[in-house]
Amino acid sequence: MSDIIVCQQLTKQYGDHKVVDRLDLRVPGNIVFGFLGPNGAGKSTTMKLLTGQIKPTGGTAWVAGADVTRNSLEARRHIGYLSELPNFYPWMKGQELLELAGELFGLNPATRKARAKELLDLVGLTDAGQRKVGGYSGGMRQRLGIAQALVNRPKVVFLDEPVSALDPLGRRDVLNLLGNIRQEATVFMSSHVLADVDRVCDQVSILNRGQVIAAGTTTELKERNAISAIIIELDGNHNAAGRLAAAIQGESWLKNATTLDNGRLKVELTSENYMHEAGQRIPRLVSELELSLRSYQAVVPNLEDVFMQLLNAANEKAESQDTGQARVLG
Amino acid sequence: MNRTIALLKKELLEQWRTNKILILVLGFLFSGLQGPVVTKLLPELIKNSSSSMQGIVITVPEQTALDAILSYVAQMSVFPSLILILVVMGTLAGERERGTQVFVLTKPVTRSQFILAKYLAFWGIVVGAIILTAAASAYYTLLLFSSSFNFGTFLVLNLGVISYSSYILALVVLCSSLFKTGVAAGGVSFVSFLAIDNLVKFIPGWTKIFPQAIFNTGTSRQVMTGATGPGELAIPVLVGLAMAALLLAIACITYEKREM
Repeated sequence: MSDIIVCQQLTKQYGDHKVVDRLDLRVPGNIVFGFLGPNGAGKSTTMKLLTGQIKPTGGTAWVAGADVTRNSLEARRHIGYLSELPNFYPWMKGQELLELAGELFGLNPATRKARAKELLDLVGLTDAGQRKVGGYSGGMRQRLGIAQALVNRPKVVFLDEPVSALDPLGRRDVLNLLGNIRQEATVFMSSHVLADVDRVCDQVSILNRGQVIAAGTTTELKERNAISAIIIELDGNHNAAGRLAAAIQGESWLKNATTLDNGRLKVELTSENYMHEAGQRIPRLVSELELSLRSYQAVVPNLEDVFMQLLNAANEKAESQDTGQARVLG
Repeated sequence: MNRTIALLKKELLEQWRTNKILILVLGFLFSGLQGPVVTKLLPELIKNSSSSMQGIVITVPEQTALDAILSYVAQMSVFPSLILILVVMGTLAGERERGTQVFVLTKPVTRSQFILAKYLAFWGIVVGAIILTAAASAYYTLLLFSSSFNFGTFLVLNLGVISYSSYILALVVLCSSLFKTGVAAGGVSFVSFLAIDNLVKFIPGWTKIFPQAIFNTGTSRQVMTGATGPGELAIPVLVGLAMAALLLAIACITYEKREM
């Protein structure tokens, strides 16, 4: 099995509510995998299932070749995990905590001591290693959390919101670190900071209501869900964008025209195929209206645009299904 | 096994750094030492208070080392149990409340190992505290009273105290594994402790079987005076240990099934 994480019909249900709903997922080895979704989508629950913290209602999952739903102890030998809100023993020193983690993974005293020092250095906590964890800031705890997740040189590292408590500098360092980890492990991370995911993740899956609604590389997702739109910036007063918007109202390729701040106009097209036609027509209209064109730019979608677009579509679909079911029941 | 030892070391370090070892040892010492000290001072106290009450004469028989030892054993029942409940009630519930257990339970460690390490750490501390308290109480008894007592039967009675404390400890660990907060676990532990203690007293014959028999002054006096052999306490001691094992097993089974 070349995939390091495999979920087949993985389901977790609390009462009538399916938090994870027949999830099928395959994650190849040695990549940084982004697991995205709105709050309550089931990301943390999936991570808990994959780290053996909770048992599924149905389905199976393999992590590093071990069936985590039946023998999570074996799977846990090969994984590292950082929870969303990491909390460690406040009475313990940073170095002691990492050494304890090493001991729980069966490392000998010399190895775990050396590994603890190496990891403290890696996450920038060398000076704080002899201080009690109770005195650490949120960011320091998160760094320590990343360090403890790497103690055993895991095959898979599960990181639930690993950069949420970090300042911009810390975030940059941790993201660089995650990029480097992929040489020896697969990183499975969830994050709400989509720009970070866009920057560091090789592949992503977007989860909504416990189901994957889109998956692929970030480039694939952007291409697949490209928004056919143009941003036009005009010189002159604020009415210029409004005049141009009025002038293009009758065009067959126009889906929507929205005036933005600073005299800019966003023109959404009905299809990517009309990009060329619009590119010829709009400058001509600008000229006819005696306006001055400052910039003309095709919109390059970012992961956030794609995320919002997919999520809205999925929610609309789910709502229409709910309404349909309600009608049938009614 | 190595992982259980690693967790055991962590627990002992935690109890040391959070002063729980100190609290338990001082609590047990305070309770146990009341035996010889109060027994010694009791005649004097009663004499002083009766002198203020005209026409009332209270005669207290001369207190002996045996009375002091029996008083020590009686003192080792309620107050040490309450301290044990207060100190141990958050051992699992508190970890779940704070989220610190995730650190351990996402490593290759079974939940039973996690519970067992906690139980063994507290058990070691409690046994140490009982030995220390017994030694201090015996020393003060010999110091304060001219008479002596049988050390062999005194040791047997202390085995009973250890057995009873083992069972109380397992009861608190079980409650801590079942509830989400330390306060809830402590409350249910306390109610269960009172309920079981009273239940045993009300059902004829049970007082001789259950570990509560150790604290029955009549039974312990008979054992200490040699009226009955120390074997009389064998069943309560073994039942106490068996109850501890049973409660601990239930804690492990239920905790394995709990969601983090």
